[in-house]
Amino acid sequence: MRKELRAYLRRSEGKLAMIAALTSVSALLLGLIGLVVLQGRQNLLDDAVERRGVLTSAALDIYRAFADADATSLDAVLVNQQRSPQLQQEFRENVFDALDALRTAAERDGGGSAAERVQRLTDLVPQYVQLVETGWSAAREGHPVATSYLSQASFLARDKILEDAAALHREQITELTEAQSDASSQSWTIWLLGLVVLGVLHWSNRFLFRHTKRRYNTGLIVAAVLTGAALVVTAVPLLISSGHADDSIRNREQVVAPLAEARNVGRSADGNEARLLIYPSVGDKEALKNDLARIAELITEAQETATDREHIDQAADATRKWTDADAALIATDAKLTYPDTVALVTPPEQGRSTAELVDEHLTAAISAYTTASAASTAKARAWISGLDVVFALLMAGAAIAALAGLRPRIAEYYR
Amino acid sequence: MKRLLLVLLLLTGCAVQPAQPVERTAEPVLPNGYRDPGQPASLPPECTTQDGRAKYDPRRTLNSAGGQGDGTSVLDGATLAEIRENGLDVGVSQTTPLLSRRDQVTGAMQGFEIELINEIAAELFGRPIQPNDPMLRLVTMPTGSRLLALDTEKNNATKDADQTLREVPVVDMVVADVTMTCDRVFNHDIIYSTPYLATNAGLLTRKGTEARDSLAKLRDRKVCAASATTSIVDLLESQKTTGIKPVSTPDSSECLMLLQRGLVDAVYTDFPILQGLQMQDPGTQLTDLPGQGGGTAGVAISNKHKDLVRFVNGVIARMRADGSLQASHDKWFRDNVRAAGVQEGPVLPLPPITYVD
Repeated sequence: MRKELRAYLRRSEGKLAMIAALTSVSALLLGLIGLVVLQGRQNLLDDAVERRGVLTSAALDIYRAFADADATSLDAVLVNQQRSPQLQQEFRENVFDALDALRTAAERDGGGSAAERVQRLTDLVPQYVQLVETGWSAAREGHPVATSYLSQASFLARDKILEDAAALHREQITELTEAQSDASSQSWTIWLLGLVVLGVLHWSNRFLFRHTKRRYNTGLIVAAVLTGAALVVTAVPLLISSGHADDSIRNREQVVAPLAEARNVGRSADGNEARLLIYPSVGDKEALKNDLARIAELITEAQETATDREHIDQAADATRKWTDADAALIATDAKLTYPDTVALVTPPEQGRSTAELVDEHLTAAISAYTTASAASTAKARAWISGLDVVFALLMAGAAIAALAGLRPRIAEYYR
Repeated sequence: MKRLLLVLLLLTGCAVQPAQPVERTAEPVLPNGYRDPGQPASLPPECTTQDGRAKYDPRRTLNSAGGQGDGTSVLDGATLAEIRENGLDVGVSQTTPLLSRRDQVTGAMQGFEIELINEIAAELFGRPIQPNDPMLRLVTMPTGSRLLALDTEKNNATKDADQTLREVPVVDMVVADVTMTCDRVFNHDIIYSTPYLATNAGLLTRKGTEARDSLAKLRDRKVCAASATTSIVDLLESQKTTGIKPVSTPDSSECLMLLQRGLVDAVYTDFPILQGLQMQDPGTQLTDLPGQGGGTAGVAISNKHKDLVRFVNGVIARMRADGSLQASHDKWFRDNVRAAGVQEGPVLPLPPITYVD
């Protein structure tokens, strides 16, 4: 049997049968690999849109909600008893929002240390809320121990909760960017295998030419054209998808990221102001000064890339006003009276403070650019939609064409 | 076949163990600066020798009637003139009811020390002091750095060496139950006024059936005091004989918080401070520890501002002589304490006034 097979393969019809098998199998293999690779790309982008994107936003929400809660918890004891319940309610809503965001983050496995961070953050919430609420109760009674509770709550928020929330955000941003870059880059595996298949087809054609004196085999030519088409059909959408992914990454990294950090620092500065009164400690003034300078720096960084700058410019303007207003607070030889200082650091009864304005404009800009970034990701995904099927069909067509082209040549030996 | 399936099912059921819940406990959150064991103040070698202790004796202060040796009168010194021009800045605590506490909403401050400050300021400016008077600024001191706020050579060198300390505000005097000690005179280049308060230590514990009215009865239990104070030094020294576990926080108010949260079993510090803490928590009991800890408290002033030291000594001497200091003491530590239902403390006599000139 083996001898017969060897003898058959040594004959021309055997060699042609082997070539037919090689060309069709290599085309089918390329089709299969392309299908898997392109499906992987689609899954990566689906993951980017549905999981990483949501996790990144949730991480940002967690940070913002806790930073807001920190500032509000302190402001609530500096205002009079008529205004205090409103700020207390704001704090409770901030914690509610933070828990909502934590729940969203917990529902999606962020991989790495994300789950651990989310769990750690969730674990700290009861103690944090208990410290703040006990501090408020003591403050209502006029007991100075209130400052100890609130200071400890603030320390917990800044030193642990916000640190973890920021790290969670950083990690998810990195993962999201990597996923988008990976999904939209050219697939060198497909290109390499595609060239191998084209080489096999070319060599098969030359073999036929040598043995049959026919210059071209239509089936092999069609198979080569279909393979080439499959490669081009994959490369062009990936190129366009990559452009959209780059837009998304650029918007997120060069505009959203610095603005989000500016907003986080802004919340921290808002809390630092109140801490100066409630529980002053060495480093608070320096921290406030550095925070305000950092906000301005980050906004400038975003301005360099942003195209729609309306809210960003307004945030920059509000930051300048905030810095000017706080100059008296930061000065080491400040001669402000206590009521003047309280008026500076707590939200006004009417209208908005400069800190709130900065936050508001930054939020509007972040929201707009996050939407734009998500839209670019969705476009990147749309461009590679169904590409796997098209590629697989083209390569199946190439396999069939190769077989169809070689079949008459093999049949000639059996007439 | 059915039997085989049943056996397989049973085997699978035995093999798959229910997921064991991971045992987790909520880690208690402790204040920033919490130390276990407690953190004492550094004792310079100068304060361990007899000569050093004599040189840096905290009771060496200046005669209110004495001149400055340069022909100018006490009431016309350079520091006093500047204060009369720009106002008086005083470093205070805001968390010690009876001594000095602030209403966080109005900013109004009250207490025995605040009345003393008002007397000094009124005499300086020649008029009564109004609430939130722009010429008298009561600065709540950054925790743990109150004496660094005085403009002295050693303090300035410390601030130059550590950038973060540069923002510590500069004040003319610190009135914050500063116990008069040799190491503070040496470390900060300060001169104390004559004492305005004498205290001994006390113990604040949670009420209950178990007797916890001495350090000896708190064996293996955590006792809290503020960092870098004489109280934490006392606790660390008594650790061997009593078996207590001394811990410290930057502020004694944080010790009350830890006591309320069940993270320490007692607070040890000056009795008047503990009275203020007990006023905030009726669930605590206060024990007087006669002869233990405490000391005398004085107004801390830079040794560069000798005219101010003399002026303050003059005011305190006058208040001691006319009984207004005692009246203020009675108001806060007898009347207010009684009204609040807090245990009255011992009335310790102030040591006689002595000057070096």
